[in-house]
Amino acid sequence: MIEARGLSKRYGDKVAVDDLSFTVRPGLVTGFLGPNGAGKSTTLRMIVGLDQPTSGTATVCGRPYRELARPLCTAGALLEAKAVHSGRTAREHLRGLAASNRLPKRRVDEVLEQVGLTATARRRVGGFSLGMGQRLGIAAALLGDPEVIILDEPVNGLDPEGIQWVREFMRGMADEGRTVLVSSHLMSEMQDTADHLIVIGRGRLAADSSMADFLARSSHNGVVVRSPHTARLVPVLRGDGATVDALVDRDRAGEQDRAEDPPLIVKGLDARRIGELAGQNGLWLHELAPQRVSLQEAFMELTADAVEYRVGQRRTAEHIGGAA
Amino acid sequence: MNTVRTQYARPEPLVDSPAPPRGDGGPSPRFADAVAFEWIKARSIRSTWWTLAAAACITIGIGVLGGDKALPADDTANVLGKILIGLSLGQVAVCLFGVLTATSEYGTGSIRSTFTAVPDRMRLLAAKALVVFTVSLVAGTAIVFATFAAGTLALNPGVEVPSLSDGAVLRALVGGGCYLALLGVFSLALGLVLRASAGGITAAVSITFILPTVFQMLGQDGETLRKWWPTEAGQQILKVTPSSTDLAPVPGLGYFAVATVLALACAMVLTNRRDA
Repeated sequence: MIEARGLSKRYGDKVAVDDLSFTVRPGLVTGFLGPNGAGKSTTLRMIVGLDQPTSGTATVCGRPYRELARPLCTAGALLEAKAVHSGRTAREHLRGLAASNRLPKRRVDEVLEQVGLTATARRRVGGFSLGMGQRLGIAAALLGDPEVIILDEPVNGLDPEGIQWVREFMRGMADEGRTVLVSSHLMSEMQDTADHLIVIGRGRLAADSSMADFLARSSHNGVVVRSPHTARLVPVLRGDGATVDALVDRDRAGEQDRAEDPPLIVKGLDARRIGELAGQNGLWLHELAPQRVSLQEAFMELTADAVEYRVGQRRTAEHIGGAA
Repeated sequence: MNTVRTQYARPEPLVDSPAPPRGDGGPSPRFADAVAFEWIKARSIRSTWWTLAAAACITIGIGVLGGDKALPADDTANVLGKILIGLSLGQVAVCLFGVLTATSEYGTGSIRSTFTAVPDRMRLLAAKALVVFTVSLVAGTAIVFATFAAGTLALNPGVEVPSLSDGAVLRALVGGGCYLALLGVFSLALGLVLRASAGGITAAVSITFILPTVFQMLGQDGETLRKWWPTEAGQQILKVTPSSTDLAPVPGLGYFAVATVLALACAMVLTNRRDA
């Protein structure tokens, strides 16, 4: 369990993290999303006690990280790929960390085995690929068999095989009842991995919701319907509470040009209900396709507000400048 | 921006999963564990070994080659001084060791994994200082005695060989090891404050080597500055016959020890307050 309460970080006038409150629960993979520079890494650093919050608190398993008696056994963190002295071997790096928390030496061999680095354990880290560096970072996070696992951009720079490995690893950790918090700016990656999302934009909390709910609230949701009986179908659907619009979609621009049965986007009814209504009224359907909204689209929609806000602010600044 | 908040995907988080309880229960780490951590880190990077090897080569080499063969036979003080002359350059390598112990961690970002493993930074830095002190003391004492042994062997016949049974000579040699140990910790403090290898090394070389040379060019004011300059005061311990204008050997080394402790204390407080 990770809890942030009113967490804020300012660097002079610049607000990096602004009054963040959220709870990361065990048994789930929680995705921590935001555009680059949104304050994700700063937040994670405050959680593990590297950066001091300007105000607010962050706790791991109920205590501030810096007060944990045996931190590696409570929380394991991968904050940077290859944050290891390049001249040191993987094994020595892990042996030092194990010694610092009174962990037995056999844990070093166990985690090396777990991440598949046994064969390269005696090589200097300087020669590691990015993927091997990520694995070493994950091995370090696992050393104390911790309840909480924090990963900052773990799939950055990984090949598809490595991405798959990290994904399965996170899933496995959550299924064992651990708390998994993983940051990313890659929405497509999170869509298949995370159960829950915490989204921040410009240091502020934008969403704290399950993946399903986050996607469901997107305006891109709906069912695409084509029918030769559009004129009769639309009132029927509207009568059942649906919102029906002409589908405006760049990908389907060609289809819209064809006059016969232009595609509609129906919201508020699922495909099954639309099909039933059409059947009951003897109306034909040529297409009935639920749209699968991507996390990317839902995210862009959410953060569009933030972009508008930024533009508005600049205008205000110019206005003030003009007045002075 | 509107904040979206909804319920969790699973109404009951899997807190009662079959996974065993983790975290607590094991032995709490102590200062000794932080020392073990720092020792493993120090011995597993090459810079530790090459800086100390460089200190040995420079100091012993200059001691053997540079010993003045034409000294008056009765000038014991100068004989030891000539043998140990290489320390003024060899000490720079010890500085590198101290600085790099701190800055290599900042440079590679591994300071973050260090601080997440031992979040009590005061404990961690005390352990780091102890490791640097001990390694520098052992290496420094070995270097000083080896230089003495090699330097005396290389002396011209006829020059009176300084003897270990001479209390002042023994004091100079043991004290020389202590001086290098303190210098290692002093440099560690510099590295912790500056956090960058280039800056730390420049500062260490300036303090131990360049500035004292500059002081010698400044006449009377320079002499006063040099007298109270911490590393110069510490080096008085190497003198068999103390000079009348400088601090006496033991108080000089004590003065440097106090300066080192103060520098380390500042570095620890600063590091504890700073973001990593």
